[in-house]
Amino acid sequence: MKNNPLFRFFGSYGLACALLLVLFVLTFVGTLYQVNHGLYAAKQTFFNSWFLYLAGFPIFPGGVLAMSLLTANLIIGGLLRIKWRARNVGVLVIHFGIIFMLVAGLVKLTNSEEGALQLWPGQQSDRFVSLNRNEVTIWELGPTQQVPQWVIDHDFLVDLTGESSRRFTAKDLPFTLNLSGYVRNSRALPKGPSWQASGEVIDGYGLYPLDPEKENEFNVPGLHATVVAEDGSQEKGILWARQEAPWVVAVGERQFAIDFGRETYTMPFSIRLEEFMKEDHPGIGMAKSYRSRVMRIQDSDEKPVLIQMNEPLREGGLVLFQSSYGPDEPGYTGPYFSVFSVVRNPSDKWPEYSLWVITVGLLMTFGRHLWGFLKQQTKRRAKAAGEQA
Amino acid sequence: MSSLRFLIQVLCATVLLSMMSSAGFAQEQSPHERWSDEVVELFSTLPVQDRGRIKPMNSIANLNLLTLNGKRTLKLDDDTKIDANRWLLDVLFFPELARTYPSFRVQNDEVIVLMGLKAKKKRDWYSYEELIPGVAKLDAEARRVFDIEGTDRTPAEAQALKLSQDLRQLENLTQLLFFNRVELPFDASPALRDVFGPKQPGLGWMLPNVREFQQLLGQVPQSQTEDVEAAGNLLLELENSLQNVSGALTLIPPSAKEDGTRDDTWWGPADILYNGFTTNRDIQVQTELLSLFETLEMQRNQPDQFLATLETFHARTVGLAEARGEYGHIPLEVKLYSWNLFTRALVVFLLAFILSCISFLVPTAGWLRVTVAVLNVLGLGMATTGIVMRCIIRSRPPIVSLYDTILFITCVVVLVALFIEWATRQRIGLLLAAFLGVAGMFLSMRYEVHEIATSGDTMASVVAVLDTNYYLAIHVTTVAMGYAGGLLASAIAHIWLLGRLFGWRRDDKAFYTSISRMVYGTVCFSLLFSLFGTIMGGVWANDSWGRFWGWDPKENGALLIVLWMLLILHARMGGYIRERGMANMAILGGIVVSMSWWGVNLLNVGLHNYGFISGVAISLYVMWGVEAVVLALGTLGYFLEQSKKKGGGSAPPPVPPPTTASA
Repeated sequence: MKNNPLFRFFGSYGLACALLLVLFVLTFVGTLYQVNHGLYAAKQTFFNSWFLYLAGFPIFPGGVLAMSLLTANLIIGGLLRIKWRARNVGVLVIHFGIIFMLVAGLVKLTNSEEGALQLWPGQQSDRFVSLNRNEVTIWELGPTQQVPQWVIDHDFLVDLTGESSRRFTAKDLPFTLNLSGYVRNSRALPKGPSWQASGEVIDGYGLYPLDPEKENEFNVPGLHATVVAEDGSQEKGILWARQEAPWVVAVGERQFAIDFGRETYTMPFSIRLEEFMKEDHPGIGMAKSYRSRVMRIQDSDEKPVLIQMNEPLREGGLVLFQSSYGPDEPGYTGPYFSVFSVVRNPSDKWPEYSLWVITVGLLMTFGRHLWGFLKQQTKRRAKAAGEQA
Repeated sequence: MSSLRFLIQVLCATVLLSMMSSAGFAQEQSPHERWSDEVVELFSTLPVQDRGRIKPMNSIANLNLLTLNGKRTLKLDDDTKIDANRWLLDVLFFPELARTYPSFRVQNDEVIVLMGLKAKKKRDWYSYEELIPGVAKLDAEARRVFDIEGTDRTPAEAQALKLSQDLRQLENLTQLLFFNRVELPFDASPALRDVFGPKQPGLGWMLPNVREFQQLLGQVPQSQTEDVEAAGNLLLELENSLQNVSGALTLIPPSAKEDGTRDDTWWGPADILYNGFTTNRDIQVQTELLSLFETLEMQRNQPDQFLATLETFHARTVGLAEARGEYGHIPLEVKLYSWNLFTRALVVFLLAFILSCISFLVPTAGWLRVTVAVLNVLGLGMATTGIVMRCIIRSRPPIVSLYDTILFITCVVVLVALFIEWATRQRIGLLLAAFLGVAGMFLSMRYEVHEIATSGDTMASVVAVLDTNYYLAIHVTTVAMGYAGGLLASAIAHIWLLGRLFGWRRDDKAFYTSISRMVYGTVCFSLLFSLFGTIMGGVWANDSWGRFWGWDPKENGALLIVLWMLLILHARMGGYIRERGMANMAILGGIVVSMSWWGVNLLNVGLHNYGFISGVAISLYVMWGVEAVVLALGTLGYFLEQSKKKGGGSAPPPVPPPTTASA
């Protein structure tokens, strides 16, 4: 196995150096890219991608590919091919720690949910909304049924730009939903003479395309939708992520609501904001600290918790961070609403564990090198002194 | 040899003695007759609240003069020098005189021309009186420039904005006692005369009568138009006077709030009057202090009385501050600025560097090596003492601002260089410690002026996310140590590359191998701390922003260092680079460190917005340009060596290919 050329290639120093260089270039260019395009676009283009594309052709490895290969290289070269002897224990530990950290990153990338929860004092909620992902939800209007029955995920929407379209059908759904014309940032406005709508104008309204904002949460996407009933009749509409009410369509005798907005996630508990506290540095308007006194409510169990900067609440697989507050206006003295970042990340603490593993490995390796160097220098000086004598 | 030794010993003794003789107050070098040393000492230790913290008046004086003038002393037209405290005393109590002082350093005379004034030299000093005729044009330009992104401003635009702000800053200070100098109509009507009695200068005297005045306002029948009009005029003129002093020094500890809770925001004169008119707080003590401060100006031409009143004012303010637990670090901060430790460290490092260079000319002089080592340790001790004092004053770990990073990194670099010297005894460590000590201290002095001009202080209050000493102590210091390692590795690599290029110890292969080992060791040092610090930064981000890694520019900058150091080590282990390759890559590593340390802050994007800067881009580009030249010269040297070898030298031994992936 160790002599297998493929095995040797994937475990080689050459591949390690090449991948480190690729990651260096990606990080460097991705950082500069943020200046004009924002963090979200940089992450999607450079770090969360398999390849970088130019005119539709892959021209350079993306962050996901580079890190996947680096993980393979570390496992093969840094754990399997390396000689397992005492002097290499430190290196083995370092490599294991870095692999663990990369795996933590992969778990975060593929299995995490993140969003925000905004509460005024006295307000309670068990749901948080994504700042970057949107979804189309459909439910039948009736006396009891008001929760989404069908959900179309963000990933099935964002590629419907230009002429692309996608048909969505589902069991028990008496129509086909045809979605197209996704615009990342838009305004749904009555069509005026001085602007060109993106896609078809429906009932006098069109999607006014805007340049994407650098901060992705400020983008308001829009879509064109066509409901095609089983009898072939069609109804067209515009779905816009800031619409105040869902689009209601009648299919035969039944009525359905179709909504487009941010993805929402349910927490296993509710949070009620009891009090938001903000302390400024004396004499200047800069916040010294801010914190929220909240009640964590699950069934009939209520537990008071203080969430503040650098001290989040970790509960039920979720982490709630004190993120910001508002309204942040000059002269405003309250009351304030509190904003929490909410993250569901199975690998939440893994990087911290990997940190300590890597540190132990580094100290073992470099400590041994330093000790050897000092011994060598002492010998050299003794030899020189002997020669002088 | 003995005469050289004697000469150097005399030189060292002279420099150190001259530094020691100026210990204590640096101001003693430039006495100013108007203000006695007793007055200056009392004045400099007065507590003042500024930018969210309590600091001595000495710091206010130094920070203000440094902002306006770029120096802590001011050279007057008659070539005499005054120190910052005496300058501020003049500004407060002799404003008409201070306005004639050339307090404003103008770096770019385009601004003077734009103001419609006659420029002196390209860079020169101007007084308030000289600049004020062109202030309308300057303010118009400043308003225009204000809307331009900091990174997009030309040097002249940046200078216009700064000069406009500097002029306002001096105006604010000169008008602190404005209300003392204007005639307010307290006796304009019979009713007012009944309330206030005989008119006196200042405002403190009338505060006890405010309630009576307010009752009068409520009671005066509208028919008594003279009294109504006079009271209205008085209020209007009071308001105008107070507007002029708002935003000036807050040097009076406040009274408790109406509900009995503590008020952390100190007061200026206007705040005392505002509270006197609008709240029911007990401001008797504050009113007395205001009266004392007003009295100081009335006694400005009577030195003995001035000193006596200042003593009383000082004793009472300090007593109040001590009772609030806010005076503890004031004497230490006065010492920090007065001892001028970082400038002195610069001088000591410079002396060490000169002697270190001489020591290479006289390699047998062991005593010279010892002298250089002692001087380096002395410089390091001074700089470290300064850092420790700053930590105590702020109750924070060593690094909170970008300015702190320069001081800390310099100390780490010097310490590691001295350790290398202790281990190798090649004099390279001593040379680098001295050279990098000089460079670091010089950079810190330059950047101090920049940071004060933009933030008003080098010990400014921190944003909420930084309010954690645990992560500041662990993450920030370790990342900075990683920077230090990368920079030192780069510096050592310069010696390898330039030494080979210029043929220094050409045939001493062991010498270059030894330098290469130093590079390797410092790269390992850098990787250890960069990697730990970077991941620890992620752990901090996971607790404060909800994610371990967000590809933020500052995080990416730290990651770039880690990746580059890993690349160096793996390329060396894989046999892809040898000594020269490692030297080249270490120099590139220095560029990567400078990008991470300074460059990403210039991008003005990301969550680390509290660290954004502007105005250092050109210096950074120059540094990168110089490094590019060094690398190009190194490459040239390589080809020269190769051509010599082809002309008769022996071929280098082949590099054994890696057989395993082990380290």
